[in-house]
Amino acid sequence: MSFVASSAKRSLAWAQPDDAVVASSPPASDRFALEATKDTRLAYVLTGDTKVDETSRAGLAGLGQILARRTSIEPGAPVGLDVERDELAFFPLIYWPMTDRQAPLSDRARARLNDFMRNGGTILFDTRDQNLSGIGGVGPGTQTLRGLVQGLDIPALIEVPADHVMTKAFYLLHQFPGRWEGGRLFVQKPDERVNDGVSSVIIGANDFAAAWAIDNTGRPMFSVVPGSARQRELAFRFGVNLVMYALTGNYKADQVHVDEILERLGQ
Amino acid sequence: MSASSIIWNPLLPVDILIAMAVLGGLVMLAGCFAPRPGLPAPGVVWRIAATAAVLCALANPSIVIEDRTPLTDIGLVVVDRSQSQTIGDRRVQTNAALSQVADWAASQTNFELRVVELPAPADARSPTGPSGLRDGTHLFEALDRALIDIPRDRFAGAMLITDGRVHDLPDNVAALDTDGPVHAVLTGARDAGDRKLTIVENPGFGIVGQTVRLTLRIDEPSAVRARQAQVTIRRDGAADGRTILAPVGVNHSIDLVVDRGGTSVFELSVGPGREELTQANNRAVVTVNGIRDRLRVLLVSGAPHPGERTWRNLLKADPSVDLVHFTILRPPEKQDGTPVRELSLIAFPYRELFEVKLNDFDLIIFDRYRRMGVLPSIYLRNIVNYVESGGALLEATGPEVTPATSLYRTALASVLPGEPTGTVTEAPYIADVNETGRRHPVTAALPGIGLAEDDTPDWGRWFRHVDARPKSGTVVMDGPDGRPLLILDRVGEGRVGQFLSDHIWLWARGFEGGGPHNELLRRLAHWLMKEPELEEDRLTATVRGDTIEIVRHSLAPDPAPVVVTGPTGETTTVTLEELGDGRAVGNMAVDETGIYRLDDGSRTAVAGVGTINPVEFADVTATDALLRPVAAVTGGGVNWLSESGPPDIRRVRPGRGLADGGAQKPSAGWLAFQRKGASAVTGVREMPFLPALVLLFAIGGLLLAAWRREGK
Repeated sequence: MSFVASSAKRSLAWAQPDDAVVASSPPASDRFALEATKDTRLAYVLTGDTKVDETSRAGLAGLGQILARRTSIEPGAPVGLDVERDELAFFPLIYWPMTDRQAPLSDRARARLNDFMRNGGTILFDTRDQNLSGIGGVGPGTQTLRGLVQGLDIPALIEVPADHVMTKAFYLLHQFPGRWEGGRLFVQKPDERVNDGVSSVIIGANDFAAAWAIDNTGRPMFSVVPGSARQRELAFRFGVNLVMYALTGNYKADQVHVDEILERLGQ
Repeated sequence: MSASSIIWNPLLPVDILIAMAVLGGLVMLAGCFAPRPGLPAPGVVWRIAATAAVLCALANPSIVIEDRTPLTDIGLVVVDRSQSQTIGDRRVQTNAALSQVADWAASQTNFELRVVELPAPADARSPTGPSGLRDGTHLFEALDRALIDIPRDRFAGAMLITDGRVHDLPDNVAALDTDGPVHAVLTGARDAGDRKLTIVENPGFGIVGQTVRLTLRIDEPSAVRARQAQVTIRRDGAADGRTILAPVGVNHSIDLVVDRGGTSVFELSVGPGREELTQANNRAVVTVNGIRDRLRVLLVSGAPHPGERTWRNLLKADPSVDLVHFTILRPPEKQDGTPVRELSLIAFPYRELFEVKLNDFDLIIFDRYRRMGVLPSIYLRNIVNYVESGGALLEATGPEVTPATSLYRTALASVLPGEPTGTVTEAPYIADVNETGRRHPVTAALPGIGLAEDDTPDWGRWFRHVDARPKSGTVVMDGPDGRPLLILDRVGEGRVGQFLSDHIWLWARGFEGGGPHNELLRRLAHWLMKEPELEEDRLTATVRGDTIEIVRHSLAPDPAPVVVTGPTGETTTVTLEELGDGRAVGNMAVDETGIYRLDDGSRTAVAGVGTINPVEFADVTATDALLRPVAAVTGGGVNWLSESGPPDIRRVRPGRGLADGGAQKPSAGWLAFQRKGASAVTGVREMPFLPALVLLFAIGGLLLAAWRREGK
């Protein structure tokens, strides 16, 4: 776990003595693998922007609490990832907020990200700029994302259809708010033959982690805009559905066939 | 032998000779009729003679002498050595008739006998030619092939020594043009009775668990026909079978239960009738390919986890599987008051699944399932019954196996082969296939396993292992420190697998290059569902051409040879060669159609060589009905060895009758080959007809005589 600059040490996913923070020697990477596979863990990409990284960590931690309280998923503490160095294969879902400090990716990182997506992983890119993009305008996060995904195998995307499994993975949802609301959410065109139809890329703009983030006292760290308890609840529900989607794939979509299959049984 | 003839070989062109003859003729005529006294002129006769002699010399007559060698007449005997010719004393009759013809031929001058046996004796068979296993008697094909090599002007006739059951009679017998008689010398007895069993309709395949309808028919000549006959049906070489009564002379349908996938060999036999030529056609072998209906797999995931989609990807991609998947998304204790209409949750239909429909599932997978009150214990007891009566259960254990929540603390303990010790090891290790596993079809030769037995597979590491003490079953994969990782077991009629780690998903996600998760889980699931291809202890015999390929799967090397018993009861011992992956293989050449039984002392197998209803045995009564028209068209005759004895064989000049009474007589006493008298020219000599000196004196003498006569 040597991937965090000292200034960002508090975004370490789990406590470690400083002397263990050395180059990724085999024991260290094994320890990382062990910790990452013990429980299901949500992961986020470290951007180098301390404030954003801390928001991501707190957001995924808050979402984890909601999951543990309401569902049978009981995730471990969130993991901050250096996409240039850390093994990505352990994580079903990686949250990646866009910041203006986002550095371009190395070829190696691009290859690792492509492998991750091909093997069934999902990345949620959050441009966090829904509040900044006017009608027809393009926000700064979106511009950053456009630069970032050069060289990544991004599939053809569509806006989440009304019957998408993400609208029914746990809660029934019709909107996907975060700190902002109204931003559009894009997914890969579902194809059940590949990775159970799970989109390898999800793109939103609503600054989701900020809506999920809770501080040490359990209180929300940011107010939601325009702001209502309902909006924050729906933001959490979206988070729950998102994680369910990443873990159970198309499960809820084919449950509509279960009655039919059960009906056929024994005939 | 020689023949001679005279040819003209003029020294000058014929035109000039003609001109000279005309000129000479005119001079002679002038000599005869010129207006002069004393006509005709004296000596004109001599001059005519002299002129003629000169012309004759110039025309140069020669004698040509041809040396000729007489050619033998060729007689052909086609001997039917098909399986129906082994019935009764037909073989003896055949050999006697053949040697009689051969002896006769040896006593003839200018006669050559060619003998074609069908099928050719094994040692004379060409590798590309028809094998001895070809069904049916193809005498005309052999006849045609032999005739290609016989010049028509030497073909003296053909004799077919057969029981008359020919299966390649030309469509248009009247158009047969052989330039010689085709005689039939028939073995066997006319009007012999024989009972036979025919498969009228064989469905060929059926869905496992259902029945297929097979139609058979027992035929017997009406004179001796019984009303019913006992048919015994045995499957896969079993010593005993069930017996049914079937009516004789009509089609009769029976239902066979297809109780497993893959090939089932059914052997049907009917007892001897009042008259029997052979019992070979009282049996029939039917193979029914069991096709499995879509397999119903119930996957119950205890909670959403990263490995869940590995199962889903595998089972949803498998076209033969209908997946019913339930995940406990929310345990009963986590109620948060969200209105139901905002939730996408349904109640776990456990009564439906584990009581009403339980027995319709082919496999139940508990994927990181933990006991938490969701599933009342009565349903777990149902699962025990389900397994014992033939169901399949797979438990993939995750970290939740605390003594309090383990499925082992339920009724399922009686069917699970491994008892969790409570130790969960979280350390890197490579899931390895152990020595037994390298011979088990579920884990043998997995991609990347490494060839040598002590090779470590090049698969990505796992980080969790749930320790268990194996109580029964076979451990095929090892975790850290050689602790069991995958245990397979048979319980009652059913099967159980226990995977003592949940980390196979790391292979699916490509960690450290991943591993053969799809192949392993697919084989595991299908082994549990009794896929015959994955049986770890079995003997199989596959017929390819005229070879039986024998494969034995066994978990421990077995030196026992395989004893193969052929259709006529003779045995062959085949020693198998170990391949090192649980298979031992061997081959055996076969040259008879019928059922071969294989036995290595503990395993048996059956192979049916040849077609289901061999045409060769469809009707084995000897007959002249097929060959009599052939004899009639070609001028031959029909002889029944059993009625007139071996025929007297003769040679006759062309145009004479070739058989005793022609083809009409029921059994001809004598048969004849034609004399063709063909010969070949071996040399030609040519010599002048009139020696030059003789001519010279003749011409000179004639001129002199003419001159003297004239001078008088």
